[in-house]
Amino acid sequence: MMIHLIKRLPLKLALLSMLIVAGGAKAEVAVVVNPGYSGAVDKDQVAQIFLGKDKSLTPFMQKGAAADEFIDKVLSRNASQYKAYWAKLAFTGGGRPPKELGNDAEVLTTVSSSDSAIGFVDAAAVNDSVKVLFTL
Amino acid sequence: MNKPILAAATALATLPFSVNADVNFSGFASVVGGVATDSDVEVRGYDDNVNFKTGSFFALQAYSDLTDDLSATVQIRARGRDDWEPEFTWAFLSYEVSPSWRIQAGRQRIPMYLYSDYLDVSYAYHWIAPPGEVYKAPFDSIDGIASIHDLTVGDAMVNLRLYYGTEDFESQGNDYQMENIISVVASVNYGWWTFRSSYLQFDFSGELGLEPLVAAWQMTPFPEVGSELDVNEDKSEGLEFGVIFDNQDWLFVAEYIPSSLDETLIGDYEPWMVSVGKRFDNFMVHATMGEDVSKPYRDAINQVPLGVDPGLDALYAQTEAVLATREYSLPFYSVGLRWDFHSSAAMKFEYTHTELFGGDKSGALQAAIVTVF
Repeated sequence: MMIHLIKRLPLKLALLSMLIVAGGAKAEVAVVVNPGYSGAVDKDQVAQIFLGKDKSLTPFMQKGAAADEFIDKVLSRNASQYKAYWAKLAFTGGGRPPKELGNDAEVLTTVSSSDSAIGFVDAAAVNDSVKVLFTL
Repeated sequence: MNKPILAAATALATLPFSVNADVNFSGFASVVGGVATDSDVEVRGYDDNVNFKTGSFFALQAYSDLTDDLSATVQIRARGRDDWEPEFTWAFLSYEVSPSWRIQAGRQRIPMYLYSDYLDVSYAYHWIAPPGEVYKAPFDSIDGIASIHDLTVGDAMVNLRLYYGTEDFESQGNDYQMENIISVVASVNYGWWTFRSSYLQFDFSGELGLEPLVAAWQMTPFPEVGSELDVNEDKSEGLEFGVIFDNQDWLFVAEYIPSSLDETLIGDYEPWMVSVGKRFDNFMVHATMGEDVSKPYRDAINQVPLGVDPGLDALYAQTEAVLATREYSLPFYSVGLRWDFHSSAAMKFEYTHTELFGGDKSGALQAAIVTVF
């Protein structure tokens, strides 16, 4: 039994390392606005917008794969800290969390149809209907 | 059905309710189990039988934007300790005068503490609940009006609030009234830091159950001792200073809440606490210590001469016994763990060790699942 396990160990390790590499190679995330929007918005300001401190644009969160990376890199939080942050404000009348859309396609549709919308999508999903502010 | 009612019903039925009035529902809940580590004690409301009622509650919130700048918010909370009887903790209209100024009218939380605003939203902080040894007020909402201002000063976000209102509440079977509640709250958010200070005053009346003692003093040449025992339109004044540092890795919290209810049994109380936490991925460990400090007001009773009259001496002894129950300084310590095991729920464990009134020391273990939905 023991020998059997040891024999298989290298294979398991190889599989495991493949998984780690695959998990680590995250897709790039693009922060997007409407093509009609001409202002410049940097990462810090995007964070302020998604945390409700800057109301110059209307942010749209999404449930897709890009969310974790966006929340980590732009908002310097993890998903539950982001949720806790908004729970604090939402249950005290002090704010409404960004509306959450289902996926990249919904973000593209929403951002392309509203001058003041800002969102983020997997960089590979970007098309002409939106303008990329920057990628992560 | 008579005609006017019919007409009204028809009018109502044809009103476009749904056009600008989407109602949004959300909520939060804590299910908490706890037990004291010794028999014959009460620590954080727990005795030595495991119970899931004391700390558990559910809350539902609904809001609707009536127009672009007017919204209505209602929050209902049902607590185990109230036998799940629901109460309105918030019910207010909010009017946005400008993007940085809004007015809220109706029932709302009075933010006398650092964590008052989201007192029940356990998902938003590290403890199962803010330490009850420090957050002792038996009321948390008022009926009134608030003016809320947001300013930006350099890189700092400043939030200023003014409150005016009244509140009636019941605590341990006695009824209390608060009138002319005025509160000013200022908080500054700078990077990972939040600094907050508040001032709260109100006129306080209620029955403490000491009426016979008050009446007895009124028969003596020292009636003012009696009026120092009761709470009858006495003015309470309180301050609060708090700081939170949270860089999403380390957390540091400190709060000091000196208040006084002059010329009453309640007197001065000035609890404080400090708390430190460290995150490890989906886990957070934290430790808190603090002290519940109270001192009754006793100017008049100190003027009573002893050994003059046996009746007076007896009354004095009786009164001293009551005052002694309000004179204490009780430290507490707690350690806890938060585990974010789910995207909208967390599991929490906490152990509290506290000194009880009378000098005994005891502990309580609590475990909780907290959620937002």
